Amino acid sequence: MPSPVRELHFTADLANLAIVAEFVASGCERWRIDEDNCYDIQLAIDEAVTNIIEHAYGGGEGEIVLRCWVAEHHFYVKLQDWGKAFDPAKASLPTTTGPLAERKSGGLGIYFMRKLMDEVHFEFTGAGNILQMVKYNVAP
Amino acid sequence: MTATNLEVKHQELKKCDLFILNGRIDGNTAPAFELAIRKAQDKGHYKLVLNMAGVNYMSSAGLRVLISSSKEAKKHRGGDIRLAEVSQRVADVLDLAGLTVLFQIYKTENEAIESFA
Repeated sequence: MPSPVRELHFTADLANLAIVAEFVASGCERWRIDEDNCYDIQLAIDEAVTNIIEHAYGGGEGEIVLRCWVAEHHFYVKLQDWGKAFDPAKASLPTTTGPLAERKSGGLGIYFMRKLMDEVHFEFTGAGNILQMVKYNVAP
Repeated sequence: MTATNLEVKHQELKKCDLFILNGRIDGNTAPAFELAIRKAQDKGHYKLVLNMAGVNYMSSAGLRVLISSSKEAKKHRGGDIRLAEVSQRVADVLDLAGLTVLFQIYKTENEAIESFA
């Protein structure tokens, strides 16, 4: 039986990242998700929200809706925006090996999302983007 | 309650500059972190120690600052950014990005400071 969906509406402002983190932490606490998994989920959502603010809305105004729930031990995340289409295939890939001079830090956000979560799906609806992420077997 | 801000304390020492960081480094607070380091680098100070003991959270926004400011430091003779008292959370993020091998990380602030000749 899925948990009730917890929903947060917020504006596209980087100052809201801490509020988003608190919201995710309180959900994890309610669903008895351990601290390590909670941190991974917080970080993946933080990177996703930062991408929406910086790329989908390009630093301009906009609304973001975050929905989280737990079902069958998995943690589900759905992020919705009404900004420009975001194509992850066009995002630059980070370099995570080699000397410092060759390291490019762009694309680390999406790389983190894919590393920290088990599923990451991007979809452009015509009116905005929907990002869904799942982390498996984190809830008792 | 998670810390929602970042506090950056900067001290100019004999051997290097020391930054004591406390709080969250995310997309919102990373610019303040970057500015503090850039101010020191603009004064010609390229030997920097970052005490990260109080950093309970760091996203890729913080890593971008570490990468860019470290590249700048290394352009100058003897310049480097060395990390001290890194929490497990920050160590995990550095590891995820493959950065652990690129930074000298010391257990204590004093060891990091003394590492600069």
